[in-house]
Amino acid sequence: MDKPEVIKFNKVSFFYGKNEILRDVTFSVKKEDFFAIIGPNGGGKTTILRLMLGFIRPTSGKITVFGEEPGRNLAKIASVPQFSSHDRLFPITVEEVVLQGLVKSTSFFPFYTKNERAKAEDAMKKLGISDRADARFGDLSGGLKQRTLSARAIVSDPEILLLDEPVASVDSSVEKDIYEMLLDMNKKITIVMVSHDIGFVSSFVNKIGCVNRIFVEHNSKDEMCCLEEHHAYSGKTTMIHHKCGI
Amino acid sequence: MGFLNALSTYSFLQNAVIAALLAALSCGISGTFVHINRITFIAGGIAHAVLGGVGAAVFFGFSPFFGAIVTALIFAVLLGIIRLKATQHEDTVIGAMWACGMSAGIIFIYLTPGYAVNLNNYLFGNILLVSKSDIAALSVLAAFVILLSALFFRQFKAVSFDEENAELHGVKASLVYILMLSVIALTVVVLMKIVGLILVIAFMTLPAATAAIFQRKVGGIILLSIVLSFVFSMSGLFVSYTWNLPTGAIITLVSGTVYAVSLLFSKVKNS
Repeated sequence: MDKPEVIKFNKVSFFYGKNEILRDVTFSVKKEDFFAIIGPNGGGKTTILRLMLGFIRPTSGKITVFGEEPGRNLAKIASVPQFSSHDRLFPITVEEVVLQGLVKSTSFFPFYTKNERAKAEDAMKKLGISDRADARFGDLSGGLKQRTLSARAIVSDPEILLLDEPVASVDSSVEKDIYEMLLDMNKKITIVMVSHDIGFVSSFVNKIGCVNRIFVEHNSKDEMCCLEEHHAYSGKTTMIHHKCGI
Repeated sequence: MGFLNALSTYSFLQNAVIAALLAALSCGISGTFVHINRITFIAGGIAHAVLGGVGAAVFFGFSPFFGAIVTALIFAVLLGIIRLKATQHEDTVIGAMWACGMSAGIIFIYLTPGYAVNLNNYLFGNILLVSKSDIAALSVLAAFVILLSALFFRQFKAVSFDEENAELHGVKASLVYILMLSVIALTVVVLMKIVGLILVIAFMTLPAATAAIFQRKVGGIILLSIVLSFVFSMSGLFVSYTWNLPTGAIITLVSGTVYAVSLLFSKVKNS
């Protein structure tokens, strides 16, 4: 239980213009946690991920990632965005998408090194998409796109993986598949994911936080069981309101 | 005299062929980045606004070519910043710069004493009037386009596909994006000489869009659209020489027709 804290939020508030998105959010992620942040759309989930990556700065409060300000440790942290944000017609193959996980500010000329290709091959193998290496990314199904973007994220051997709604646009059979794949990666990598949907999440993760401007962490297994039970008969959002009072 | 015979006799036709080759190399590369980023409007904005710089150069008595390069680069940076920072009305701002740049050029040229400049040369270009010294200048520009895009190829591609991912890996996405627009701006100047500012947009879009139907990688699209641009230019040159028609317009119509046929072909094949 005494694993080191890798991400810490201490009384973090964030305003977008005049709108308060997050208020006094405090939590920490420990090494090899599988942490799920659940909340309604517009509740501030993606904001939390963007704060962790250093794309935006908190209005007040302090965030540290490996003890440093976010954005300093980019090599150790990787992110899987929602695949729906990519241009479906963009001319790029699966292998090339994965190789983009290795791009640097010193990547000059069009060629990849042998080492880079080997790493990409390895990441594709781990996610079971080696046979699709030459397929066009835009032509893939939602589940395979998610796998491709996950391969791109792990190709650089990160210590933390952030996922934004990894199951938002896939059907429930694929959803389970993706969680199992994440669980497998979780043996070595700390995972933080956000989702508006409780779905299968609770049976896979070891920590759940609910966010809707304020943040409530559910550490104990009891509370998590409770969440699942409620899920059986009530709507997801009602359930979150019910349990956390937010 | 037949086209091929004339080609071996007249140096102006030989210059035209070299110019077409330089244009094909530049616009094959830049057009592909315009296509994958869907920024035809930005490329069009740069192309039309360049007239402002040409007009100013004519009015103040320095080289219009130099004026075009400087203005194209300034607009590339400005439009890049607008694209990256503006959250709304981006298209309106680009449209306004497009029209105002062009208007400034028209006024400068109108005010130039003696009216020695033929506005049409810049608006419509003329590949048959390309001189030896033009070729030298175009070669330098094309060399810049090729070198910069070869050097930054991976970063251009990464920023085009997923800016945030590139940024996460330490790539200076905004700078790379603006550099990419600058490469496009230099290409605009090369094309101005050949098809004119108004038709630059055809060169920047049609060969790459046609190539994208048949190729699945960015590199493949670039190579095929270089070949296509050159073939389009050559056939345009042939038609306009043989029937004495305006070259830029013929090249554009040839490109447009091939694009339409390719699109139709791929739709039929896929259905």
